[in-house]
Amino acid sequence: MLELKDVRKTYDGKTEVTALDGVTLAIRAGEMVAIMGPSGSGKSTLLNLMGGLDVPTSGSVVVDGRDLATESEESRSLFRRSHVSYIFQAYHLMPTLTAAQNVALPLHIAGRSRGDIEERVSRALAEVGLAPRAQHLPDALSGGERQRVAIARALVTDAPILLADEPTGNLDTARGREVLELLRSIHHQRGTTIAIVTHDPQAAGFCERIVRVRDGRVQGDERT
Amino acid sequence: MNFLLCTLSLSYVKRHRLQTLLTLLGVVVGVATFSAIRGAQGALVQGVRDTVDRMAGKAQLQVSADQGVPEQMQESLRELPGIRAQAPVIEQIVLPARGELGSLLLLGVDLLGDREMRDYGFEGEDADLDDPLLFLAQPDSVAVSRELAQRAGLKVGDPLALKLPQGTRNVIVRGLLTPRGFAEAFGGNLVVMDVYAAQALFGRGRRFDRLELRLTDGTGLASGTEAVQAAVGPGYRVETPERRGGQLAHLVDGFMAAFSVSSVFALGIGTFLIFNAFNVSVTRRRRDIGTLRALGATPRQVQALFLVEALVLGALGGVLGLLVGTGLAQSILKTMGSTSELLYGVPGASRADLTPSLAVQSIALGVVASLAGALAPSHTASRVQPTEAFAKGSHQASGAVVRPRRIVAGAALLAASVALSLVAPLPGLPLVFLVLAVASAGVIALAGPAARALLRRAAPPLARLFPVTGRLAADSLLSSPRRTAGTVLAMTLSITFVLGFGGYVVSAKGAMVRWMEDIITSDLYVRASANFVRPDFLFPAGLRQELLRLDGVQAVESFRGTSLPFRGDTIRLVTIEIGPMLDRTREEFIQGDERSMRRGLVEEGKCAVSDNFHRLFGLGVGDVVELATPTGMASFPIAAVFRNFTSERGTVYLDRAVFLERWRDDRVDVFDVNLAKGVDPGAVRGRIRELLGGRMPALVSTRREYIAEVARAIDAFYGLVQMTVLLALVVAVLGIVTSLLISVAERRREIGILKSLGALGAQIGRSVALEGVVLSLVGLALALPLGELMARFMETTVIELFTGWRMPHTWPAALVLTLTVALPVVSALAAWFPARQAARVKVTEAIEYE
Amino acid sequence: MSRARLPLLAFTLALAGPALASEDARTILAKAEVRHRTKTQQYAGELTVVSREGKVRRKAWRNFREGYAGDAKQLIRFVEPPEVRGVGFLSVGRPGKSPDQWLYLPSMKRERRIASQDRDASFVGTDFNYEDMEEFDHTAHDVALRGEEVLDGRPCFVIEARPKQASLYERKTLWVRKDILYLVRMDAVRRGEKEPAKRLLLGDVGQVDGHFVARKLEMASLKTGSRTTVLLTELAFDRPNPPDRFTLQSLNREGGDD
Repeated sequence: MLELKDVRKTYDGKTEVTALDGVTLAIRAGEMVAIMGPSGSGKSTLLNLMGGLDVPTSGSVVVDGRDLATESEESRSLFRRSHVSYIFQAYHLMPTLTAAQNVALPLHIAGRSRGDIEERVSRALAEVGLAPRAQHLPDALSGGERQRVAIARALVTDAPILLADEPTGNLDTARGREVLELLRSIHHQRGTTIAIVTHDPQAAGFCERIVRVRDGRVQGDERT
Repeated sequence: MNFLLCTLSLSYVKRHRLQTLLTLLGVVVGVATFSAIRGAQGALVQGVRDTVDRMAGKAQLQVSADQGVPEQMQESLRELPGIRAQAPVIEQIVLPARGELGSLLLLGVDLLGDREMRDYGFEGEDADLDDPLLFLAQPDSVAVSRELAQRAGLKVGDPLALKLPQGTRNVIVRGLLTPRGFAEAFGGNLVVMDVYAAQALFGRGRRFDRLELRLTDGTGLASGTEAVQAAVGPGYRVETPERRGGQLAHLVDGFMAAFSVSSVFALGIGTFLIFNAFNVSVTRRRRDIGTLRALGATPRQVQALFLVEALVLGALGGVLGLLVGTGLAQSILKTMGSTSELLYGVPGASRADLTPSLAVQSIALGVVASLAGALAPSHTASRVQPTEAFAKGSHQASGAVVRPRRIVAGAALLAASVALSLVAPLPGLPLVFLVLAVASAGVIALAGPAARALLRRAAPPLARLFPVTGRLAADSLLSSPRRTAGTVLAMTLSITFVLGFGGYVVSAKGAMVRWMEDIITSDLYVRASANFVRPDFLFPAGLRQELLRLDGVQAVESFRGTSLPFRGDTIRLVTIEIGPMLDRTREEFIQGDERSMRRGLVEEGKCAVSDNFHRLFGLGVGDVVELATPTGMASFPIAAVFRNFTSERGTVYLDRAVFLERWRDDRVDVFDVNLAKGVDPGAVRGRIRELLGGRMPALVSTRREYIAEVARAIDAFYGLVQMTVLLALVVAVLGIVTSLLISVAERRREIGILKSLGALGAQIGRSVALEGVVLSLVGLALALPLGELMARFMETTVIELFTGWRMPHTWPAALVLTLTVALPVVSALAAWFPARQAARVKVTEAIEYE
Repeated sequence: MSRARLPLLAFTLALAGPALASEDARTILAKAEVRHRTKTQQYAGELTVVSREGKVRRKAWRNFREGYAGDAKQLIRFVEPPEVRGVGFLSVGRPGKSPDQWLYLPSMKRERRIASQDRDASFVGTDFNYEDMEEFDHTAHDVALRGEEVLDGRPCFVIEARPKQASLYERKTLWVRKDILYLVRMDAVRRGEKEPAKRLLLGDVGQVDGHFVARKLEMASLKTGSRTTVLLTELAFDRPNPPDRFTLQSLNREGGDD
C-alpha cells in the first residue's frame, strides 16, 4: 500500500539540514501504525512524504502503486484528493466556516455535487458524533470537538489512507483518548490505513505497529 | 470554486475590511483617474463638436479670422454667385452674475436674416420675438433657451444680470428658444441677442466673429469655398463648420494628452496596490492555503481562487472608480472649462456623460489592472507548500540576494532612457511613454538593491537614535526585502512623478515669471478684457490719445495680440509700438540683438519671432515668415529671435504701424501706460477709470497686479497638473499603509514573542510608525535624483516637443523641503492603523497562531 | 418691413383700371398697372395684429414713396409704440435685383443692412411675410383668366397667377373688380399644399387725389387663425419729396418724416 525506499530529505538553508537519511519503510493496506520519535527526528517529514505533501530529495515514495516522488505538484494534489486525508495537531479548521462547511471543504475542492456533499457531510458528522453541532463555528467548539470535526473532514472523502500528525497533541488525556478510540473504530469499520505521528505513548498504544524514528533514520519497528 | 469564493474569500474580506478597502481604493483611484480624464476629454470634445455643429445650423461655410470679419465683407459676398444667404455671428462666453448657472454661450445673430441659417423655434408669451422690430429696437433684448430659463427661473420680461467687460449689466429676456436644434448647443446654456447689439456690448467695433454662408443648390462645397476664399483674400479662414469643430476638438485632445500620462501612472500605482494587498492576503492566508492544499486543492485551484478574487475586486473597483471618475470629471470640466476657455477660447462642456464605451473601458481596465497586480501573489500562493505553511515559526519571504546583473541592467536601462530622451528617435507622446517606460524598468530593477544599501547604512544610526523602536523597525525592513523593495519602489515612483512634474511646473513658472518681470515694465496696464487669448472686448485706437491727455501719463503703447494660421498651425501675432517697448523691456535674444530688432521691425518692416517659433518651425534670422493678412499674403523677414512665452504655438512680433497697414484693424487689447517720474499710479488709475467709466471696460492694473494676474492664468493652466501630482502622493501613502499592514501581518508571531519578552504595545506601535517614516524617507532619497532627471526631461525634451520652449531648470527647493517635512509626517499618520494593530497583538494568540 | 407698405399699395394701385371684359388676364393686369402708376405717395399707417388667442398688438408709422415698381424708393418711420419710435426703414430699389434695405435703430444710433434672404419670416410680427411684402409684378407670373365671380355684390375677374421664379407660393388667386380693375381679394397657396395659407382682403376702396385706393387691408393666416389689419389715413399722391429723403443720412438723422 505504502512503500518508502531509501528516502532522503534535506532542506537548503544557510546550512544544509538532513531531515530524513535513508528511510525504508512499508505499510500494508489496513494497518494502523504509530510513528514515534523526539522533536526534530524527522517523523513529520516522513508523514508529509507519505501524503505527497512533499517530495524526497532522493529515494522513492510508492503509494498505491504510484511513485509520488516523480509526480508533479498538480498530480500529487489530485492523488491526495482521492487517496489521502489528513488530521493535524492544530486541527487547521477554517475559523470562518461552520463545522459542516469545514467538513464539506475537501468535497468542494474535488468538485462533488451539492446533494452528494450534503449527504456525505451529515454522515461523517454523525460518525464522529457531532451532528448536533454541525452549524457551530470552530471557536464555539472544544478542542476535542474540533479534532473530531477534523476527523470527519478526513472521513468524508472515503480516502483509503489517513495520516494524522500529533492528533492528540493539543488535547487532555481524556479527550485524546476519545479521539484515538474514534480513529481505531474507523480503522476497524472501514479498514482505513492509518499512520499517526506522535510522541504520546497512549496514542502509540492504540496502534498495531510502532515505528521509531531518530535523527532521520528508522530506529525500531515493532508490533504491539 | 464558487463555494470557496463565497466562504473563504468573503470571510477573509470580512475579517480584513480596512485592508480590502485600501485595495479597492487602489483600483478605484486608478480607474477614477482614468475615467475622469477620459470622460472629461470626451465631454469636452463632444461638447465642442456639438456646440459648433448645432450653432452652425444650416450654414455650410464659415468665414473667420482671429481679428474678426469686417462688416464690409458682407458687401463683397452679397453678389457672389453661388451664395444663397449669409449671416453674421458673434460668439461670446459670458458669466451670469448668478455663478451657479455656469458659463453661458452668448450668440449674436442678425435676427432679420438668420432664419435661413438656424431653426429658431422661438416662443414668447409676449410675441416680442415674433416681432424682430421690438426686439431689435431695444438693444438689451435677449432670447434664452427654455432650459436655461427654467433653471434660472426666468420669464419673458425678466432681467438677467451678466458679467460683461463693462461691469455687471442687465439684459432683458424677451423671448425663449425651444430646445431643438441649436438651442441645445452649449448644453442649453444659450443666450441669443442681436449681432449689432453684441458688437457694441463686446467691443467688436464694426466687425463680426464670422460670417456664415449657405450656398445655392448646385454649388459644390469645394467650388464654393474656392470662390469665397478668392473673394475674401488669404487673411481669412474659409472652412466648413465640421472642420472648425474638428480643429477645436483637436485642440482639446492635445490639451488633454498630457493628462493621459497621469492616468496611466495612477493605474500603475493602483496595480501596485493590488499587488501589495494580495501579497498581504497570501501571507495572512498561508495556513489556510496549506490546509486547502493538504485537502487536495491543486496549485491551479489556489491560483484561480486568488485570481477570481482579483477579478471581483477589479470589477467592483472598476464600477466604483467609474462612478467616482464621472463625478470627478465634472470638477475637471469645471477647471478645464474655464482653463480651455481662457487659453484657447474653446467653449467648455457642462456635463460629462457616462458613455457605454467609457464604462466598458474603465471596468475592463480595473479588472486588468487588478489581475495584473494579483498575478504574482497568486502565483506565490499556488507555490505555497503545505509543509512550509504548517511549519512552526513565522513566515518570512525568502531573502533576496543582491544580484549584480540586475543592478547593471537597471543602471543600463536608466542610462538608455536618458540617451533616448536626448536623441528623441520618436515623435510626440510615444517618445515620452517610451522614455518613461524604460526609465521605470530601470528604477524597478534598481529600487530594491538601492533601498537595501540605504537601509543598511541607516540601520545603525537609527538604532542609536531610537534604541528599541529603531532597531525593531530596521530589522523588520531588512528582514523582508521583497516587501520593503516593493514599497520603496512605489514610493520612489510616486515621488519621482511628483518631483518631475512639480519640478517642471516650478521651472516653467519661474521662467515665465522672470520673463514677465523683464517685459511687463510699464506702470499701468489698461485692459479691455480679462481673457488673454480670446478677448471679449477691444478698445478703439483713439483711446490712446485720450489716455495721453491725462495728467501724469507720459507714454502709452497699444498692444494687440491676435492669432493667425501658419503652416497648418495657429500662431500668435503680437503688435505694439516696438521702439518704445524695447526702450523699457529687457529681451533675451537667441539670434540677433536689440539693435537689429529695433531697426528691422521699426524701419524695415521685418518681424521678430519667439524662441519656440524658431524651434517649432525651424525659422531664424535671415528666413522669411509668410503671413496671410486681410490685404493679401505678406512676407516678413526675421530680424531677431528672442525668448518669449506668449504662446505655446509660437509668436511673431510686428511693429504696430506694419500691422495697421496690413491688417486694417486698429483696435487695441491693452494700453501699456508709462507715467512721468514720481507720479502716483493709484491717482492715475483713478483718472483712467473716470475716463472710461460706464463707456468701456476699465481693467486697470499696476505692474505688480498685472504680473500677478498673468501668473494666476499660468497657475490655472497648471492647476490640473498639480491635482495629479497630489493624487500621486495620495496613492503613495496608500502604498505605505498596505505595506505596513503586510509587515504587521507577517510578523504577528514575532510581535507576540517580543511582547512576551516585555516589549510594550506602544513600543511596537512606534516601531511600525517609524518603519513608515523610514520607508518614505528612503523613497524620497531615491526619488530626489530621479525626480531631477524627470524634471529636466520634462523641461527640455517634452516641452520642446510640444511647444518648442526650453525651460531653464530651477531646483524645486520649496517642493523638496515640503516633501521632506510632510512625507514623514503623513507616513507616520498613515502608519497609525497598522501600528495600532501591531500594538494590540495578543501574545497568546500570536504564538498559538502558528 | 416696409416695403410692406409699398407692395400692398402697389397691388391696389396696379390692379385698378377700366373693365375690359373681352381681354385676357395679362392685358387686364397690364392695363391696371398703367392706370394707377403714381409719382409719389404718402400716408400714415395703423397696423393691428390679432393673434388666434385674441391678443392685440398695434404699431403706427408714416410712409413715403417715390418712383414706382422696380425703381421705387421708400422710407418708413415708426411712431408707435414708444419702444420702436424713431425706428426707420429705407428701401432703395435696384432694377432687376432685390432692393437694398436698411434699418435704423435710434437706441444704437446706426443703420444696418437688412439681409433680404429670409422671405418666409414674418414682417414685424404681422401675418405678412417678406415675400408678401414684395411688389406684385405681373410680368413675373404666368397668369390665366379663370372666370368671373361676384364678391360683395360686385362682379370680379378671377385670375390665377403662378410665380415664374422661386417663390414660397405655388399659385395665387386674384379677384379683380371689373368696374375699376381693382384687386379686392387674393388667396395664396404655398408650395406643395392644396388649400390657401393666406387670404388678403382689400376694403374701403375710395378715391384720393383722383386715385382709387383701398383704405383697409386685412391679411389672414388661415392655418394659425391670426390676422393683421392695416388702416391707411392721411393718404396723398404726387406730392414732391425733399431731395435727400431717401438717403442713409436722412435715415440716420431721424429726419425725413415731415
